[in-house]
Amino acid sequence: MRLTVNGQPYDLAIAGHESLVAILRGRLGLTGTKVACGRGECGACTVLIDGKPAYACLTLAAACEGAAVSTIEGLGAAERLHALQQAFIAHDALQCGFCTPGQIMAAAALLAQTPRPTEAEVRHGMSGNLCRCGAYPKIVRAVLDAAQRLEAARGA
Amino acid sequence: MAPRKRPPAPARGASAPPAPTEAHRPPRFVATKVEIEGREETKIVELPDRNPQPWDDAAELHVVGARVPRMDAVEKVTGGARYTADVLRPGMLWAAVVRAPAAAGRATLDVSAALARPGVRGVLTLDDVRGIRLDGMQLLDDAIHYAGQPLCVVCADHYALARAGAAAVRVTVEPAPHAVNLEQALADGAPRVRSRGNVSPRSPRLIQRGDVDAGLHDAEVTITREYRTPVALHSALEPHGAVAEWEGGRLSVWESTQGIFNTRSDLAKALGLGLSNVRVMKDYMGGGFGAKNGASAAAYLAAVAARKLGRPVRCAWDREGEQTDAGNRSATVQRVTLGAKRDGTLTAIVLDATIPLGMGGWEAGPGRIYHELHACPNVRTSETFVYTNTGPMASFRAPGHTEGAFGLESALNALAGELGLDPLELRRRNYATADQSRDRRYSAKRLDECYRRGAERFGWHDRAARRATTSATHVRRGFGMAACVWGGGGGPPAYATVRLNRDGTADVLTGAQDLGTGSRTVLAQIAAETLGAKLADVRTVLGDTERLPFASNSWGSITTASVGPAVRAAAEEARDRLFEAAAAMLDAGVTELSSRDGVISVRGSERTMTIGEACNRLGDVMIMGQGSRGPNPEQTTIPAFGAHFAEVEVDVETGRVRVVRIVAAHDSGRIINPTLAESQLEGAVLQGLGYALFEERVLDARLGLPMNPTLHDYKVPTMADAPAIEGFFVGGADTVANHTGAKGLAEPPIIPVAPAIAAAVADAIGAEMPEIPMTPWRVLAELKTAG
Amino acid sequence: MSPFTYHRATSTDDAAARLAGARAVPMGGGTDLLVAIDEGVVAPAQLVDLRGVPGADAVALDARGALRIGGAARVHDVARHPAVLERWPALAQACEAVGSPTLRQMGTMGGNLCQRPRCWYFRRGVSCFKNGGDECPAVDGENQYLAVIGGGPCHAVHPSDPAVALTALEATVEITSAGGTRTVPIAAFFVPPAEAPERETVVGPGEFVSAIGVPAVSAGGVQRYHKLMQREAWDFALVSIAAVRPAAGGVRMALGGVAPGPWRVNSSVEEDVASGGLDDDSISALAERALYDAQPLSKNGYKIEMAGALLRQAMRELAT
Repeated sequence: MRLTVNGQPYDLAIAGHESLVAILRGRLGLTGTKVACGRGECGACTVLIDGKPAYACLTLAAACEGAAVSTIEGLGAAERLHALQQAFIAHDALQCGFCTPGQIMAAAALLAQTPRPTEAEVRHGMSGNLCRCGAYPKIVRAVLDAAQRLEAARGA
Repeated sequence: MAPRKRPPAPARGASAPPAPTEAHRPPRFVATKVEIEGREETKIVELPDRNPQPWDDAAELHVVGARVPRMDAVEKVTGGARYTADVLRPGMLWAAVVRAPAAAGRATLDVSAALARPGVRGVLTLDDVRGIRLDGMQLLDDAIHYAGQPLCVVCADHYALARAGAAAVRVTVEPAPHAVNLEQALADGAPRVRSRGNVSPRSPRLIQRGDVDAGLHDAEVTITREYRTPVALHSALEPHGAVAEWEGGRLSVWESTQGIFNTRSDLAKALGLGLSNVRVMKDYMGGGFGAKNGASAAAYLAAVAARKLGRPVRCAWDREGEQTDAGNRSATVQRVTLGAKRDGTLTAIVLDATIPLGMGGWEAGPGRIYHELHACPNVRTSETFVYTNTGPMASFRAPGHTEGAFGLESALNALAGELGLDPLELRRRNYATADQSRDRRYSAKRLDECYRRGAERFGWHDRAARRATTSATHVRRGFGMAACVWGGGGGPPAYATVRLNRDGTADVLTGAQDLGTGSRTVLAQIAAETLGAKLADVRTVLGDTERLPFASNSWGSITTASVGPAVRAAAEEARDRLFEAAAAMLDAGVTELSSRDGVISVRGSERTMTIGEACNRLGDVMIMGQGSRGPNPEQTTIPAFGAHFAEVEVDVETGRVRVVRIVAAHDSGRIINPTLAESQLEGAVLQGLGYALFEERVLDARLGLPMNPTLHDYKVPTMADAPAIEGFFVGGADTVANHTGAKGLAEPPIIPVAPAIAAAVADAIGAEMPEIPMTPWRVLAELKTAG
Repeated sequence: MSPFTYHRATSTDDAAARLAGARAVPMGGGTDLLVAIDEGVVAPAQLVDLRGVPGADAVALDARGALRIGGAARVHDVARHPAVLERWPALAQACEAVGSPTLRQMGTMGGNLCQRPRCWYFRRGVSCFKNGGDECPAVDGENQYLAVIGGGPCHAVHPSDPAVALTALEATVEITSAGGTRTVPIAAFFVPPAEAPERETVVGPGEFVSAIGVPAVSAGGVQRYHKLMQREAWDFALVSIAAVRPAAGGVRMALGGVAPGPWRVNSSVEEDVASGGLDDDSISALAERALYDAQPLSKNGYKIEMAGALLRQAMRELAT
């Protein structure tokens, strides 16, 4: 089947039971998406599928045919960081960094749906991503900051 | 102070008399005391060649103390940071672990079906790892000691195949009675958990000063309380795991570890290898919190499997394994008696504690903080450690003190209530100006500043008025506070090398670890400050035992205080060498030179050159400096202190607690990077919040099984649970501690959280909270007893 | 994960035909199903993904003002649907309370109703009534999250939030198979454990939830869904309540987290609430009456207090 990830098509033989995260990490070398629980209880594996957030550990790769999968690697790279990535750096919204790709993808989904979230909307909108290091307060600030930057860039 | 120089070597010769200086040469190696997680050890330290001028409060620093962004943030936000979980080696096999389904008994394994499964390349059982022991247990033992204990490991071409293979292993258990909690372990006729019995041979651990009986006699008020704390799980998002690969007789291991050198020595010893034949690497790790302090079971299993099967092997715990078999913070039962005068002066502190340790681990214990935090002439703690058929203890962020603070600070708050005294005032009246537990001075203590500024920021003295304001009649507001102490000094040995490249960029090489703590950045800041280089030109290289000089584990909050001074010394040596060369280039005396922001200047002149220009003019000469951590000051306790103030709302109909706000004031000496320090503080507070409200490992005592080994059922805080946290450091370089003036800061902020929140809840509902986590049912139960 | 095949259904008929095969099960977002498979709770040979069936994810009003929710509609989409927010806010609030934001966007309404309970004995494979054993290990164990009403011999609670709101809204569930379609009132959708502890709903092999209907007569008025959790987010209900006083009149209340299915409050209590003129004492008395049959286990008695608090609060809200 054809899997489209970060705009790139991949033709792969995929068994029905293989999870999207196993394919991303194991076959496509996209190790930015992390597995921390494998049961949809932590959010570390959050990716976007057609712009909507999904836990890649509970997503069957076979179910993604025809869909556009986006991972952290597709959001931005060192040379051209996405506003969210910049904001996370600026606010130190990370410590060990293991949950960070998932947090940023969840934030991207949130801002796509709610471009001007309130602080409460960020807290609840991002509540599906655990951070054991406890970077939550700074993540909230980073997401609010990124929302403003993105709005400004849109010329709003 | 001029750098200390060794006297010149004496002349040699058969008939040369001993040089007059030999008798007076200062020893190169001396003993010094280093405190790690409350355990004080004597270490040998090599006296450094140089002792930089202490950076006191008057020092003009430009990079140290600045809020520079975390230097590895780009890798982390782009998904480029490579964790052990991401290491893929050519031909690598994946291991899946078969775990004991019961808490005690004997297991027989039939692995034939597993070996027959597609893609399975081999199985490791007890015979493959005989002699490798962890926490007093034989790895892959066929005697079952706790549910979840590894029994064998199946290795296959892909993880799914390994798991299928593991599922095909037939495990037959001959069950035996288990003891998974204190009641079961201490009952008459209890099953024997360890060969030595169910109570640790060092129990009861008795520590005392003064005369407690006299102190109780002198007391005008005494209170006695019993407190209970749960088993808490680190729950790092990256599970324990390692990849092992052999090349001939040389072993390379990537492990998610807080101590690459510890892992190396553990593996070398277990496998009978010379240290230089074991290389341990760790780039990034997804959390440690104390659980990852040396070669894990996964590392041993990966190494042995790789040797047996001739291919690299990854062995990592899955989440259930991580929540069952990756260590834990011990539960405690603490019976506390406090005696005091009417004015609040403590006359006696007594603790009798029982701690189920699991199958092993070290005896951190709640008792030590009772001796260390407040002034009191008479203190006695007795701690009994009990073995249970459950996973062994592993250090978890301020082990011992976090459990003990719940008992001690809650008791103190209860005493304040009995006396009608403000809890803060009670603590002020029992302020120790020296370390009474070890009968020696503090290097520095600013807990009074924490009290004062924390109370001010919180509005502690206005709380009575705010208590009345709530959103509904069934919601009550409450306020509470608590304090903490922790060892902040670190110590040797730690080494660093600073190398200047030809273009003036600098590499700081040291075998320390960054757990997300920010060590990479902090060490680079110290080096940049000392070199006078641009921070952007300085890179910290960590994580490889083969390429880097020794630094100890990143535990006990010791890294900055241990490695920072070594880095500074190395950078200073490099700078001095650079200046020697640059002086000639700039036609100036060495002592006229200074550097800042990458530019070397001559005092009183316009002549400058960049560090890069100077290095380039030297051609392939490499300017290098080496530095090491010197000894700790003698007869001195190097502490970190803190005080927390909490505000909560409690719904008295449902028992739900919402933490509104926490103000956390901390004394950890000079802060190298306030942004990163605040991140550590907030993170510790959030872990403390989980401990206070949600987190407990639940076991079915009858079945002997853990019931909640998932990240949903073991409830760590979500973003929606984060309260407003205002954390700050009161500052003040502690140059007695070491010449950078910095001390440990990552652990202290977890310690006061639970007792501060419990005190706030008690304030809100008019009933003390003797047990954490303060789940709704526990709050409702206390509300009932309050009537 | 034990190997299974995956089939993306192209139509209702295709789904039904596939599900008629041996060990084929319907799949929505997979957020419970895949976990249950991983735990060994279920071991299907084929997953039939319903999300691609045209119209299966639709949420729409019909001509009579009733709501039809396709079985594959995402929980998030129901939570944010303008018609649901305006007319059946209890349902919107209940959907908003499910899981985490991402799970709400992945999970379907049909899957949410059909998810397996989260009793940790059951899910961890300890022999019990629900998985074919002959005892309930929770009775003498860690039962703090289990049922206080209607339990026995199995005491697991049903974890669905929308089911509780749908119960108060007197919704219907359309179930489709190769043999056709049947519609079941939600009150009959959940199976009491005394009848068949090994299942929770009337959905049998070969069947799937194709739609949920919410009647127009349940719309409007005052509607609330409150969920008490340990954490502030991402938790199953300790206790929850859906309380509605539709524009058309009457009061209906249902509790979640207390029973093996949503627990509809006794109609005589509902009528007394509807008749109005309640003071605090009568509210307390009514709440007690509603929980009269509660029989707590050793560790979950607190749920009765919580349910009482939610009932009293709901009655006060409905009175305004």
